[in-house]
Amino acid sequence: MKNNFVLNRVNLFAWMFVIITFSGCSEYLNNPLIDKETGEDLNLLIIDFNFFSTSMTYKFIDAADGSLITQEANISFSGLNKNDIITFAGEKKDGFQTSMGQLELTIDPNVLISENTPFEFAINVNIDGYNSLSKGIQIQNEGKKTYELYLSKINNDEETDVIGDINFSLIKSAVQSSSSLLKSAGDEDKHYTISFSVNAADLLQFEDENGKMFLNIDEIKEAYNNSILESIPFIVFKLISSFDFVPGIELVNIDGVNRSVLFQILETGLVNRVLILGEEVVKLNDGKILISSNYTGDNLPAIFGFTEFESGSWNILGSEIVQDELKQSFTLANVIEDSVCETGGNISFHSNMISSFSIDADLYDLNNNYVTTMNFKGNFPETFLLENIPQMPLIAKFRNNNPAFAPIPSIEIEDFCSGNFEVEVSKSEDYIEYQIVLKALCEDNPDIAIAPTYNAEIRLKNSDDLWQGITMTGGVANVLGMQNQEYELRLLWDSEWEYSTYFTKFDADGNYLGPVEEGASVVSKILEDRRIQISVEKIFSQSICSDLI
Amino acid sequence: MKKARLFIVLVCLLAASNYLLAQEAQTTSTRVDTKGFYIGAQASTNGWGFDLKYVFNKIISLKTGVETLSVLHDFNFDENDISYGASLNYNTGGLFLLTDLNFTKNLYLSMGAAINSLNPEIKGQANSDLEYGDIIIPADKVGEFSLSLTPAYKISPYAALGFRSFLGKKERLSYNLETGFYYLGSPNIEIEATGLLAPTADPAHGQEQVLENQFSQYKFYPVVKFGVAIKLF
Repeated sequence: MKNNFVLNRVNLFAWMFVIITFSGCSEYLNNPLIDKETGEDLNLLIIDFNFFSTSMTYKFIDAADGSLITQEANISFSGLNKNDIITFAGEKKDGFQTSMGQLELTIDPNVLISENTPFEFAINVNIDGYNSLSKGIQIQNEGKKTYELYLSKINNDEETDVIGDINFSLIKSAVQSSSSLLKSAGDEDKHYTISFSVNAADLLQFEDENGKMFLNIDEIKEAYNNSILESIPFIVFKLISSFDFVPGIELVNIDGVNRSVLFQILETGLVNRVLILGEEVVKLNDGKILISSNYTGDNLPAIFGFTEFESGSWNILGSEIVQDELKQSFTLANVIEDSVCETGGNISFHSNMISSFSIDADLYDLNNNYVTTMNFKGNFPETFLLENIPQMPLIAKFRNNNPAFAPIPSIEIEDFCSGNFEVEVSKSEDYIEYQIVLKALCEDNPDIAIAPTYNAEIRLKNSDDLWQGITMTGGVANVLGMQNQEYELRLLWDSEWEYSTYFTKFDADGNYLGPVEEGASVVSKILEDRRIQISVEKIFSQSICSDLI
Repeated sequence: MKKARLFIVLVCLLAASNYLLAQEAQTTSTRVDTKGFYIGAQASTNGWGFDLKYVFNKIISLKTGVETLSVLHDFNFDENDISYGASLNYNTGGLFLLTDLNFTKNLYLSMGAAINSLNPEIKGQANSDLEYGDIIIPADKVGEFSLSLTPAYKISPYAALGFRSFLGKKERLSYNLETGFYYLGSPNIEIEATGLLAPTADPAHGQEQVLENQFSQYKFYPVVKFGVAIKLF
């Protein structure tokens, strides 16, 4: 009887044990890689293309009004390291196109960049209606680079008449084009002249639509004398010129060596037509036009003369060039300062806020002449090693283009080439620190998400504010924003902007209260430092996923 | 998944076999006084080790011991065109203190707790370069990762059903087989990663919490244990 009782209890315990074990283990059969909430494959890995240590943002700006040029731009690279410039998808291309006014590219991470092994290339930009632009660039250290490229419009319809002068052996036309250093704070004086001349022997080769215009020198002399008697200009050069060029650091071939110098194109142009006694020259044959330049300013620049861009740098051709065809372009430039530090001092940006930043500083000389622009992208506090800085006293004027930052006072530096320079930045009233966490989901591969290290931009949605550059590292960006506002966040991938939106609207516990766009999810929480973290997950419509995965 | 099912079935069969064995033993064994101090060794899914056991009477025994298991397994796998070399370092074991309650001479219910040292870890690193577009990313820039798991409770409650029998004329030698589980609580997952995978480990993305939620049902650590012991005095 007792045995039966014990056995029954054992039986009971045994089955209880088995039932408990099984009930506890039933969920073990669920696949943990299936999302419990959505029933879809779990996003297991979050990856980042953080192996790029140098990013390059190119902005194509209309020199006349400072706006981004949103026409189709064709961009190519030349020079020593042209093949090492790639997209963030790792692609090398012969050319790039964008109609967004800017381009994000990077450098093959296998290429070492240092002061001893600088990265050297030239960017060539062609946009319809604008003068083509070529700029030589030398990078001495890795980091985030921004290049603002100012393009001037072609004045197709605006010919300038240049009236000539003559003697027996030489028909000379001394003419002027006017130009001044751009942004030179009101100094509009001309600093140079350009003159055009033709030898009589060359003039004999010129043809109009009926053939040779003159048979011999005597005929030229007679025609010229008659023109004086009748007050008719003997020779007129119809020029098309452009003057809106911004100075900057460029690579110039000096004595066979490419050097970074402070350089400015003064004028580009071409002889569109030549009229002799009102008759248009249609063919020069072997005849030549001599174009001469002369600097007329007080302070002779280090180098002045005609230049041409070749193999990634500017070649100085001298003060005279010869052209044997019509519509050949010429470029007159000067080297304002040939003493440029390849690597200079350090500039540090400090703040008591947690934020990324994109700060632009325009450098002016002590006469308020624009020199160049420096761009800094990073997170406070961050120190930048300056590179390619003219060795001259300069004033750094920080652009007041970020409403979240209080205006930053200008600093005057005797020599940027050495030393440490501190810049304190404070935030504007009404702005609060947030942390944005972006996760780009891929529609066709839910296993993997992308949290990019990339340059992004934010601004108040539907506002005319300028887009503010932010630095995103592994999908995380510290930003400033106003409460109860809707913001747009965008990043440029393969010449297309990918947009996301988020609100800065939360309950007392930091939970997100704003609406969420389709294909996205937004959640928020309060971080230990009391900031609010806004996590944005979005299925990207762009090729970012297929490019990376 | 198939392995998990097989394991559950195995646990069930062992429990059932214990029950049947108990019934068998109930009818064949002869009761003698087994009171005394035993030293033994055991092998289990939570490691191998030794224990000290004191049998107070026919019903209650108290045992304490240590067990440990460390398995290192190297393997390779491919993920998104990257070849990774990985190693699984499976560490478990613990220091336990258990009470066995015998309901028959052979069948017992074991309860107690252990200071658990369960800590499996997978470490890996890319061992091939990554073809990325038109460039090659060296393996060292692709990065490394590690994923480790620890129980929520360092001290884990334990329960098991066991079969014990004595051998020899004086029954100084015993063996036992038991099946049960440690209660670990939802596991804590720790991820570390560099390079390409760095965001997976970034707390800002909360991937550890996501995985912990996905694996939260794995609260029990199944144990199948076989032991032998000899009576010292």
